[in-house]
Amino acid sequence: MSKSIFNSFYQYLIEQYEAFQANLQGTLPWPDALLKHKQQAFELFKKQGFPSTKQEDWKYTNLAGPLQQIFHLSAGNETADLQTALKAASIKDVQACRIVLLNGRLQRAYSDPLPEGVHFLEGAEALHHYYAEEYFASLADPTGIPLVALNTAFVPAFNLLHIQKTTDRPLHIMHFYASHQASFLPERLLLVTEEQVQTQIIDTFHQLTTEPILINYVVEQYLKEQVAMDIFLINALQPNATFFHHSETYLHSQSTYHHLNFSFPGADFIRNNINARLQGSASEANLWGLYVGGGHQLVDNHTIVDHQQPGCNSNEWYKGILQDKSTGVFNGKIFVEKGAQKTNAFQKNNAILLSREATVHAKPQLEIFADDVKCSHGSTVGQMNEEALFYLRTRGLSELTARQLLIEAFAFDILSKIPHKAVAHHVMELLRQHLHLESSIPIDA
Amino acid sequence: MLQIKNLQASVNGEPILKGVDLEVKAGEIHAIMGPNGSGKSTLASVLAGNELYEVTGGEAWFEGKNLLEMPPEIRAREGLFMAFQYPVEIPGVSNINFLKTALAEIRAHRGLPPLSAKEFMQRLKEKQELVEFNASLVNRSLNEGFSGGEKKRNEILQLAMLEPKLAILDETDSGLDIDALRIVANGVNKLRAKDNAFIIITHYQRLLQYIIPDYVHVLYDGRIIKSGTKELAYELEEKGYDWIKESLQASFS
Repeated sequence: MSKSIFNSFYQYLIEQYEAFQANLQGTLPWPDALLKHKQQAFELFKKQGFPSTKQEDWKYTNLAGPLQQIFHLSAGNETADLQTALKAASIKDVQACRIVLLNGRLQRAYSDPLPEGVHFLEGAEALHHYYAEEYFASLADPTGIPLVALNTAFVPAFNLLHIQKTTDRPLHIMHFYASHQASFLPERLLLVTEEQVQTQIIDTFHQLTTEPILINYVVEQYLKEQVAMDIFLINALQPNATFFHHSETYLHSQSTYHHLNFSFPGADFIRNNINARLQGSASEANLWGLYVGGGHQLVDNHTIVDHQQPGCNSNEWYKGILQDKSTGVFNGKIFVEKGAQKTNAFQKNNAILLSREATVHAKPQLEIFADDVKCSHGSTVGQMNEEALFYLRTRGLSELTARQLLIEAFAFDILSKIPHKAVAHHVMELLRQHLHLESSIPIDA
Repeated sequence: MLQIKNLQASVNGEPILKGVDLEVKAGEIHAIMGPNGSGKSTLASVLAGNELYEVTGGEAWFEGKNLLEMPPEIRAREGLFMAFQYPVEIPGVSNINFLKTALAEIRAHRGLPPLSAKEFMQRLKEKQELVEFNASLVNRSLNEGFSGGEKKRNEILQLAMLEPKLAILDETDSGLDIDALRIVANGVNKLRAKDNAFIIITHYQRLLQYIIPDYVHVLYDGRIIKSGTKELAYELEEKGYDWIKESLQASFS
């Protein structure tokens, strides 16, 4: 078996590239410096194709299934009436500044006015910004990461979020998707936060149509010195969505980054690469995740915490709840590079299987090249604690209530990391909606 | 209140209870004593409805209803309570919310509305004092990081809050120091009333110096082989379980 997949979708993309580029040069010409990255990324993709399960990072995540059909390149100029959808997708009681995107493009008419010192640039403005030349495709290097190569080659444009001042309310980036045929929707964000800025960003994803879509969302983030940034990624997409997300974050000294990653049953296929590079001393990255699988869903979270400098901290905790025939994959890499002394790096992942047909593959991976470090990792896979269940029932709680309580308690470790009460409440509601405990069977039964 | 007739149960196919007969009336305290492995905790678990134990014969009636047909939560709502020998730690479930939920379920079963927040807190405060339970523990996760004594006191606090008709204390005295033992015993003594009953399962006579039982039963090899009053406990303490075994063997020879 080959290390790559060269299927009909691959062939389609290779054949379409020239016409796609010609069209792009006619409508939104990219500056040469960036175009070069695009060309290189295309060559990489052409050579490497899609990764097969022969590649270590894709061992349990087989793309042959989700990519067996053609996802058409989209013209990228779809319009839709978002009024109703916007209301439904807003999070209750969160006074957020909403930035509304449709297939990755800003919908100014539906978006809230940005706070002072926050700039959301698109099209030519983003392409010609000084940060574009500096960071585009250099933070998220396409080499060796097939889905970043794919995105870099085929993304028609990217957005640039430039945060110069501390924001007093979260920015809520609402990603809407619409298509009238099976579509490939690459989307990209470059986010730069200036020194001493404190900010919080909520990312949510919503489908307006039921045609199959392949979302390929790449985020490059650069946090300058003493920045504090929280990201809340909430993925409650519907069936027929395949979601590839790659997030690459560089932290400068004394910066703090919290990434909270929540996903729920719905999207058929989710692959998240969440990477944090501690490039400045005394910086801190915390990656928290809760994934709830259902149906035939596959949820794959690959994370990297890369300690490059001394005195940095990282904490990571991913928890999974797998129902039905769902599959979870967790791979957490911690690198402590030579010279990154006084590193504290901790990682935990726990998964609970609620059905006999659910699966989880978990792999912690520590590579430590410094000697004065504190690192630990722990991984557990279990099922509903029958002893606890019995205990609760002997106090009068119904089996269903007891199961619900235990699952919520399991999720609590991650939910409690959300500093916004209303956001935490929203995520808890999603959790309740997507649990169907009455059908869960204890494995030993 | 409780009638057990010829109750037999097994774990993983191995018979543990081999025909237990017991009758408990309102207002009574029964102590069940016996050496390790005699089936004491199995009896408690079977009465509470633990599905790991298979009932292979006999009957158990609670307030005229067939106990063995009820799932554990219905037994609890009908007024049966078991204080666990090893209470489970449940991180993430707050003690106070758990108590509120449990109490609401039990009250609903009896056709009563849930207590108001104020009534609940008042009752909790009262019962906490009864078992000298630190207020900060109530706000923590259920039993998480509690010492052995704190866990046992939390069991008695739950007992006090839920006001069962029949409480089974499964080796509540094990692992308790003398102060904790006194607190637990005081709690039980204050809760005993003419319309409720207790079954106290213990290996030692120690707890029975503080909680005076009306009846003492000796469980041995899955059967109650001797019943008596509190004096039986003293005799057992003095002569040891071997005395029972020997007298049993003598009666067969």
